Amino acid sequence: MQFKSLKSRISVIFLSLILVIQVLSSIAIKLSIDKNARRSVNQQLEVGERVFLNLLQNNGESLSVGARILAADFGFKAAIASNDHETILSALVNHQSRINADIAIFYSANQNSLVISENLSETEVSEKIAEVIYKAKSDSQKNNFTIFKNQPYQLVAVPVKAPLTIGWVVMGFKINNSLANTLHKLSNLEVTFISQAGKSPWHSTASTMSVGATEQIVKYTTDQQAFNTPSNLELTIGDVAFGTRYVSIFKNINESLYVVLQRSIDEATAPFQVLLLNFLILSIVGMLIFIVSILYISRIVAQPIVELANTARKLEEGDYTFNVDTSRKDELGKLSSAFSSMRTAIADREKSITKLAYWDEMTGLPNRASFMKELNSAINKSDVSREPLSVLVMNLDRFKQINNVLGYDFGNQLLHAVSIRISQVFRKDNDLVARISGDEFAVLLPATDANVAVNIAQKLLQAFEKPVELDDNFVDITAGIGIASYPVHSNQIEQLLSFAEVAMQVSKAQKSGPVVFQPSFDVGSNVNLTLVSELKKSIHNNELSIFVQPKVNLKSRVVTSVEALIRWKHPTRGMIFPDQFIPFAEQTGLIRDITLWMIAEASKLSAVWLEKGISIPIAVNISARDLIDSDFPNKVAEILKSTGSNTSLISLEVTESSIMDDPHRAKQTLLHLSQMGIKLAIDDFGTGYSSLSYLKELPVSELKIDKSFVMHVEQNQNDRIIVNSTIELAHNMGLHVVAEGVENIEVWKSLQEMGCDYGQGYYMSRPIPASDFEAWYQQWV
Amino acid sequence: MKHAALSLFLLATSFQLHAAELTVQVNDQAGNPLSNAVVYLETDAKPNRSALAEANVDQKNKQFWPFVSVIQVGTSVNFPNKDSVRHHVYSFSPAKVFELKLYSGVPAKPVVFDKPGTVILGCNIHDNMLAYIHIVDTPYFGKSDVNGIVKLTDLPSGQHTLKAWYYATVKENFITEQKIAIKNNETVSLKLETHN
Repeated sequence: MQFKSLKSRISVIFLSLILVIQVLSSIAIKLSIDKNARRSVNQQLEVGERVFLNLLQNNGESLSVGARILAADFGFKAAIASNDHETILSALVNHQSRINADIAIFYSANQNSLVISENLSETEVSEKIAEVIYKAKSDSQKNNFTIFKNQPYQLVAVPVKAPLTIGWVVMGFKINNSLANTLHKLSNLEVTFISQAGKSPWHSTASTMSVGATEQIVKYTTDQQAFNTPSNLELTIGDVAFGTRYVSIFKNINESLYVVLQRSIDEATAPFQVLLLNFLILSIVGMLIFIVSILYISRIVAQPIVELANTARKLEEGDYTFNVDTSRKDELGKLSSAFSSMRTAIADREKSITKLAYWDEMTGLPNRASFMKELNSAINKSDVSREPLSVLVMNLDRFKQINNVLGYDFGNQLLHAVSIRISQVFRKDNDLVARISGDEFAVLLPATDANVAVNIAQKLLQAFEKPVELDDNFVDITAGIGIASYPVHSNQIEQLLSFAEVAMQVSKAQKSGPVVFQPSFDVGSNVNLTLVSELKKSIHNNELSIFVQPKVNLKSRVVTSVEALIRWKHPTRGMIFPDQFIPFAEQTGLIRDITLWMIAEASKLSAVWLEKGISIPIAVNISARDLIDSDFPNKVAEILKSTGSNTSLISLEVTESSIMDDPHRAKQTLLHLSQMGIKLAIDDFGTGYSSLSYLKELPVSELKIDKSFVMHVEQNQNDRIIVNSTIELAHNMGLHVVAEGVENIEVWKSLQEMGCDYGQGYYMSRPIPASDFEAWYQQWV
Repeated sequence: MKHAALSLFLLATSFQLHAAELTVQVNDQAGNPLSNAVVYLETDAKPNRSALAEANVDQKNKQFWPFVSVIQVGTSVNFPNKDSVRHHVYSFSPAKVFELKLYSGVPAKPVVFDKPGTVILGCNIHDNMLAYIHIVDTPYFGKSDVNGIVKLTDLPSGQHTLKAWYYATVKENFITEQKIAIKNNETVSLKLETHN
């Protein structure tokens, strides 16, 4: 059976149990009562039989005493001797009345005649009297019975001796209602005497039962010959079952006399029935009390469990606000206490787990997971409000170097300071600032499109124009900022963040302030993925080509070197500029193949030019990836060898920032290259954050000032100061200085005045295909 | 006393008769000697009766003594009580009905048995007391001894009737009789059917 509740289970089990017990005990009692009643009836019947026999014995003795008194009377004997019939009869009647006998008979042995007190003829009795006397001769103690004219008698025969037996006195009681009633009084049994004499039918002599009942007994006796049954039997008379016992009083060939003893079974069970009724009443009362108790107990037991189950369900739902009743002192109370402390413990743990999961401990800002969660709900809100939202990702420049140089503790403090400064810029209620990785912060800008986001980003950068002061150190903070907006760029949170990060990378590379994501940035996009795979093939398909831009001695106008620049002539998209594919090449590592290809091409080109008498070294840009490849110098040597070029015809340019990615390994690689005799130049000087003291340790011979400083040098005093001091410093360190972005003669003149060694720019030449260089060179010379 | 009376009687009659003797051996049906059997011989002649004839039936230890007596008609019988208790001797027998009410010692008058037959004696006080007196109308009678032998003496010769009575024959109170010729000393055997 399935129970929906503990309460009903307890109740049903216990109620069933008690019900079964009650029913079984009732049945047992009922069976036992019936059995006992019947046994009791049987016992009563057996006792009744003994009582009856005893009664007969007593009657017999009483008859015997009476008869003996008469038989011993000398006068009586004298009367017999004198054959005085009258006297004999009167003596018989006299003694009969003394003991209340019903009959008295004298048998004269001499005369062979009878004197009878009752109205019976001699012929009716003589034969039976003779039989009685005959029996008495053999056993004088034995009860004698006979039937005279359908009336049974108990008889006693006593001899009259003078001194030999001269006759017999026979005295008797009738077996009649008086005897039946006496026996009934003694034994509380119903008594019926039935007899059969000769061929006459069974007949009831006397009975304590009604006439009808007596008739039934006679009929039953006649039909069933029930007297032959040795044991007790049950006889139903009317509606009443009687335990019935046949007791044979006497029996000879012609005559039978039985007493039928009966006891109503119902009457015998009556006292037990009262007992049973009392038991049933007690049982019902007990059951009611039990039901109430069980319901109460099961409620006591089950109710708190139900409450605890509800409590557990609340816990499951994450509701820790409820109260648990712990007032009970029993096991359930302990369980409740355990629940209560479990609730508290779970709540605390969840709080700290949530904090760990969603909060960045160092800065106290939400972490990436938290940011994603918020971004998700912000996007859902945007869907409802139909407003765009933007994600802004900011990555600190040079943070790795700061960690390396100033230590992690300082780095951490710096991050904390930066996070405070970022937070100050934004609206606390709406915008969410999070630290999503080491030196990367993200800001969620709800209800903000990309354009507004750019303005906000500018503000953010302005906030960092003032250096961060930490432990008396002033740290200039610059950063790349990328922006991606929902829904224009993506409607997936992961992708949105990733696009903002891509834009941030572009921003860092371009150093041009905040950058809004463009599909072309996305390496992962289908278009760009195709581009990357095509870029791989481009090398073998000869789609790449080298452009060159000359470097000119500003004093002598002599072309001292050319910078090799890569161009990709895509079969379907046409000319693709490096800033469109070099970032992917950097990300995918393809840049290393491209670098080696460039070196090889440049080597071949220089060899071709040398044959034509043009001995101008070609400078190739190498990337940060090349610098961390310790095998890179060997590969270069191999190329030079295979192309028949030499180290004097090839020089390498590295950007400040690519060195700073891993200054130590970069230095190792550069030293190796320098030892091979390859000249090295620092490119884009001024945009990075390398210190001159560090550069001093590097085996470089040349410094290229970024065109952003050079282009307006003749107008901008600050630029002029930077360029001038840079030139001066470089010269002091024994380095040549190359100025990029020389676009007119004025700049040329200024640089010349400042003592700059070489210039490069549109004024001399745009980058031109390598094949056009000869013509330009002829013209320039 | 009895013996003396009998001798006297024999003496008185001897002169008329030959002195023949009859020895009767009485046995029961099993052939065992039967004592206390009464045997007597009746002759055709009218027997002499002696008015002086007497007999005693004592009561000793609440018993009659002897148990069986045989007497001739006209004999007076005394019933001396030799017990310390009293007795009430009676007879309802037709041969002689009498009653000696409670007495001790010897009753004043003896009882004269004047009819032949059997008298059964009882005591109204002691139901167990029982004795028989067989009265015969002949002077030739006797009672068998422990060997079952009765000797009848001084018998006249001639044809006579020999009779025998026993108190416990199968046929109650049955008297066997047979003709017998007495010449000299005779010996005869009788077989009586008894029930005990």
